[in-house]
Parts: sequence; C-alpha cells; structure tokens
Amino acid sequence: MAANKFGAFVFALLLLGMVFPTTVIVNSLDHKDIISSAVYAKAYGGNFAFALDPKQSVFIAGYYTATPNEPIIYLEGKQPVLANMEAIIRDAGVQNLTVVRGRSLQEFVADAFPKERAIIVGSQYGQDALSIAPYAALTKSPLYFIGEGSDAQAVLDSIKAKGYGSVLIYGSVARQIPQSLQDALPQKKVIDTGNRYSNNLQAVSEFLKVKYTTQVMFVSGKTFEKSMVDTNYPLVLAGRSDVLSETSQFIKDNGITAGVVFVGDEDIVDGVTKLRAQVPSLSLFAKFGEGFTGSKGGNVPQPLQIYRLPSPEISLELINMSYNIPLKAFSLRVKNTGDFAALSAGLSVPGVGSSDSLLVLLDPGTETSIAIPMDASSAISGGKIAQGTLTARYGEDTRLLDNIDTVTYKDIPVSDYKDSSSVSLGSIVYNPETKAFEVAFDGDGYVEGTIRFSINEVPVTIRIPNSKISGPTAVSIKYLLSQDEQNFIDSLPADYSFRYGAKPDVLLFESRGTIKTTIKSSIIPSLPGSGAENGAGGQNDGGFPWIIAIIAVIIAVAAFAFLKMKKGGSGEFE
Amino acid sequence: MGLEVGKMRIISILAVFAVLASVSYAALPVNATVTAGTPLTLTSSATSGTVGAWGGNVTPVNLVINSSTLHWQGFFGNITGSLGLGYGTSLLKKWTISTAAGQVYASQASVIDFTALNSTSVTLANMDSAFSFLSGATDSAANSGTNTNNTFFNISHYQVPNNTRPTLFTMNSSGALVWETVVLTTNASDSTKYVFAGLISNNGVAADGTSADFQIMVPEDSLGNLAATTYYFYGEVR
Repeated sequence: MAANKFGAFVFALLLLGMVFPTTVIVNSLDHKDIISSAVYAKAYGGNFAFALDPKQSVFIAGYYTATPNEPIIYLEGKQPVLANMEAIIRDAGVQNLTVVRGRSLQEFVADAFPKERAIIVGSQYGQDALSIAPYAALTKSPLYFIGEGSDAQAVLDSIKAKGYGSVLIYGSVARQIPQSLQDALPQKKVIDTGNRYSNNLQAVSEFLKVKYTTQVMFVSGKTFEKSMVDTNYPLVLAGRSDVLSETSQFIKDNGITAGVVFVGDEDIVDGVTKLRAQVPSLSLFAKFGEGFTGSKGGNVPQPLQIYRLPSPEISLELINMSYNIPLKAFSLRVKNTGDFAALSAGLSVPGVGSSDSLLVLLDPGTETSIAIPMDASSAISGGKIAQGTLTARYGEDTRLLDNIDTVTYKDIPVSDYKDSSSVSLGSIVYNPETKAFEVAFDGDGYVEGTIRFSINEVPVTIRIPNSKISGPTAVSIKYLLSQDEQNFIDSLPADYSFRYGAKPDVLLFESRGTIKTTIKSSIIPSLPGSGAENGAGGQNDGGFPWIIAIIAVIIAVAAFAFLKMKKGGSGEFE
Repeated sequence: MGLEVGKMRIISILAVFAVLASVSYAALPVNATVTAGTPLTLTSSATSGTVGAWGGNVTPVNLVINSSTLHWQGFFGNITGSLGLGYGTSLLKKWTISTAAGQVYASQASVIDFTALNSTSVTLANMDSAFSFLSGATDSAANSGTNTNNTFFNISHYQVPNNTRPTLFTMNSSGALVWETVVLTTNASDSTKYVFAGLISNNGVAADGTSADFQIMVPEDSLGNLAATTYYFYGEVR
C-alpha cells in the first residue's frame, strides 16, 4: 500500500516535471547517498545538485529554489553537509517540496524504483558504484551496498523481500558474499572479472545493449561530478598513466567516436592520451565549468564541483638503488606509503641493456628490496655505475599498473652483500576443510610472491605472504572457493613467482614457473611439507601423503597389538 | 569604483543589444562593484539626478539609458587557466587545449552529444521558438544575430562550414564586435539541446577589459522565470 502511494507520488512528480524540471538536492557526506541520489535523479530526468561544503549548500539552497513552484526533492543523509539546509529551502517558499530524511536514502531510492532489478556493489570504495551508476539510472535499478560495517545478510534479505526479478552483483564484492547467500538471489548475474577496468567494460556493454551511443565519458572512478551519472552516456574507467588493451579494443569495436573528460577528475590525462594514441579517431572534449545564471550580465564559469570518492591511495617511495655484484642484479629499495600496491620495475643501463623485476605485491607500510637481474659488471667504474634509468610501474591492480614513475639514478653504488639462502617450491594444494591453499616450501630463508591461475576465465592472484622457511614448511593462504571452483582447479596449471632471501626485507633471489594446483582429500591428514611436488613436474600428485597414511595405519595397528599383548601379560592397563 | 568603471566603458557584453537594436529595456539597479570573478551588469551611462516637476508645467527631459537585457547572459573566461588538473592548488597536469584556436561550448545539457552537433540545421527563429521568452521580444535571437554568418570551424572531426549557422557577436571593452558565438543544436525545438559555441581568441579582451580566451552569450530568462538555468562549459582536447 505504501509502495503504491509512493508510486503515485513519483508519477505526480513526473507529471509536474513536464512543466517544471524536478531538482533533487542531496545533503550528505556519504558517497553511497550521493551516487544513489544521482541515479534516482537521472533515472527520472531531473536535475541533480549536491554540495561539498556548507557554503555551497547555502548557495544551492538559494539557487535552485528561486522559482517557488519548481518541484524540489530534498534528500538528507545521516551525515549532512549542512544541518539546517532543509530550513533554508523551506524559507525560500518552495511550493512543491518533498523532504526525505531520517531514513536510508538508498532504501528510499529502492522504494521509488520498479522491482525489476537490483544491483549489489561494494561500499568500501566508490569506483564500482560509480562505474555501474549510469546503467543503474538507465534501467531504474537501485544500488545496494555491501562492505565492511554492513550486514550482507540483512541487505540480501531486504532485496529478497522486495521481490526483484533479477539481481546483478557487480565487482569484487561478489567474492565477499558467501555462495549460499548468492544462490538464494533471483536470476543472479555476476560481473567480477578480477579487474575493475574489465568489470567496467562489461558494465558499459550492458549499458550499450539497452541504449547504444557512440559517445562515452572517461573517468578515474576516484572522483564524482554530478553529470557523471547520465542515462545517455556510460562511464569508461581510465587509469592514471595507462588503460587496458581491452579498453582501446572495446572503443574501436563499439564504434565509440567521442569522449568527455572532467577537469578536476583524478589525474587521467596520460591514460586518456595513451588511449587516444591507440584510437586516433576518438574525439575528446573536456567539461571544465559550470555557468550560473541570474546575474543579468557577464559572468565567469565556476569550476566543476568534484567530490572525492573513497578510493585506494596508491603511493610509492623509491628509496635507493644499488648493484649487487655476487647476484648480478640491481637492488631497488622501495616503500609503499599508500594502500596495497603491485609494482614492477624496469631498469635501463647505458651500454649494458635493460631488464625487469618480478611483479611484487606490497602491503601498506612495507619497505623491501627487490631485484632487477642484469649483469652490469662491465659498467662498474670507480666502484660505481655511472647511470641507470628506472621505470617503476605500479597500481592497485596487478593487471593494470597505471602509475608510472621514471627516475634516473647517477653514481649507483655497488655491493658485495652475499646471500646464502635457498628456497624451493614443493606443491600448491587447496584444503577444502580449512578453505585455504597450502603452499609447501623447502629450504632456508624468507619468501614472498604470487600464484596466478584462471577460474572459468576469471584471473585469480593468490598472494604468498612474507614467510620464514626452515626446512619443509607449509604456508597457508585463506581463499574461499565454491565446490564448482574446487573441482575446476584440480590439476589446473598455475603460474608462480616468488622472491626469497636471507633477510625478510631483502629478497633478491627469484623463482618462477608453472605448477599444478591440487585438491586435498578430506580423509588425508595435513602435514607440513607433505605432497611436495617439484615445480618442474616430478612426482605424482598426492603420492607422498598416502604413504604417510599407510605407515601411520601400520604403526597404529602395531601399537594396538603391542598394548593388547602387554595388557594380557600383566593383567593391568594404565 | 564601479561607477567609474561604468562611465569609462560599457562593460556588459549584453550592452550590444542596446547598441544594435537601439532600444531601451527595463533597467534593474546598476552600479555594481566590479571585482574579478563577480558577475558584471551594465552600468548606467547617466549620472543620478533630479528634475523638479511643477503643476501645470511641462518640463522636457531627455534621458539616455543603456539597460541590461533580461533575456541573455554573458560568460567569459580563460580556458587554459580553467583546464588545469590537480589536487587543491597544486597543478599536476593540463589537458592540452590550443589557446590559438578551437571553441568553447556552453549548453544547458549536462553532457553535450558532440557526435551529432554539426548535423542539425537551425535558425534564429527556431531558437526564439525553443526559448519562448525570446519570441517577440525586442532583443529576440532574430533581432540579435545573423542566420548564416559563422566562421568555418571543426568540432573535432566534424566540420561546420562557414556561413551555415546562426551567429551572435559581442563586444570587447573597446566596443568592437569581436567575439563570435555560433548557435548549434541537436534538436532545434528543445532549448536544453542548444549549444553555444564561442570561438576561442588567444589573448582576447573581454567586455570588462580583462584578458580572456572566450566570451559567449546565451539565452536566460531573468524577467518571467527566475528559475536557475545552469550552463555547462566544454572545450575540445587537442
């Protein structure tokens, strides 16, 4: 009944909107409220306004209420930008004012939309929500946010209770929702390629299926401007210095001929420039200002209002570089001063050549030395190497290292540091009971690295955390796999690469190759170092644990027989 | 200060209508103080004064008043300064936009469809119909510009041949009609689909005498409808 009333209310607003455009004003600091409200406003063809600070709130409250009979929908979040904004709007004498506050704005939007499709996105960062927002507005599909601090079960219950025809789970949040909960959703569809840029291209594809256009908007996904959500144009994510090769191919394949960028959006100049170099036919326009009228004369356009969405901070400090003579490799000392980052470093030395490091994953605050293998002995002069140009490529995603820093080092010092550590990989086994990969190493030293494979064409990167190896050692890495995925990865080839060394933060040795992942049988006990398989492919899968099990059974039977005999001899059993 | 500036110059770009059409229009209070970034309004060319009126007498009074139009709004600015990209005040990157050529586009559409911008023909009469407040006004679009008088330019790969689009000219601080606004649209009957292309002039002089890359005029009803109309500005990235 309430929903019917609300539907009638929305319909009435739409009729009113034929005469006067409805303006949706959101007063909230929460990115979830802002994006949801933009989706709502654009879905119904209304104006949308939000403020970054109280001063702007006051301006908006006056500017959009100059005509009292122009409909205003005022949405106030739990964390408003300006506490008394509603009073200011009311004082303006607005005749068609709807106020929504004291409730979830996302729920309000969900109630206003038809119950055809719901979209679930992660709440921690704004990138995924923004990426799918134009499609959400186009199809009048509300966004539901799940993440840290939110109850996934409650959100999913709410979705089920509303009776949606289908549910789209967008982005990495799909891996945070237990499979059992997902399976209960109606007509579930998942877009989670393991890469937010690839996810975005799928979102754009979905948009183009409903509404084809040859113009898109290029954004970083880290900032929000009010016209980024539009039912006419999808958003294409661009990296800071680069774009996926799939992106340029997608632009070509779909006949995209024009793009709009936003001045004040995150620094994507190089990324978009690179894209245009790959697609020369692409025209590019920059939205740079907003011109407010009513001054009866000349005016200067104001800068766009750019809201900074929560997003990972990618920041790396290149501390120093030296050349290790025994290892024949350059040692680059780096510190991750931002959130989690992946790094690959390339070095060019005049007269010697160039080389690249392994892909290294760095936790926040991590400081480590990584190796760039290269025999530069011939370049040593006076205990130094005259010059080397380093190109560090890094990003939040292993598939798109979209930040590039280039540094030229002069008089690079040399080092005789000897490292006698030795670490080898045995096997990679998934244990369904512990829901973890057990990676068996042998040797002595510290190790860290990655294991990569694809599950149903979705790339997966498992990280081996920095671990001490002393003899046969199993490193356990928690990772949730569904039953189907477990079946899929049995005997699946995986690419591994790891670094190791005698010190936990100086890992200058490298090892890389391919190994098959296996599934651990539930009846086999887990033993450190068990099931070790040579990375080059030597021993049978799971052969060693069976031998151990048989020996254990024999020992148990023998022990039982021995005790039985002993008991029979003394007449006592303790 | 504002009055002094007003005496020296006709600072509002909209004064062009007073000059072109030689009409007086309803005047609103003037003598605004002019500072950088604040709105400019036409300053009265006549000093304030009083005229005594005596019963039974007829006193001839001659007044010359240049008035602000209530149907148009002007925008001007420096595009290179606007396109800096960075965090706060620290500039990191700039979109490379030629300062010697190109256009600034202004529209009520929050995102312009650039791919269809050169393919729809339009006249000033169409514009008067779409912006109904202009229709029949002394300073209507038809009375303010010329239907086919534009300079040739490109919208990226798409050409706009010369003398094919309605054009409006506005003045610099010397009163010369140097700033060209070309009328484009993707739907001639929909006011929100109109796009006003201002041809960039490197190191140009705006109506207020400041250096500007563009100066543009757009319809805005300040008389009948006080509702806010926001125009969005775009440049082409080279």
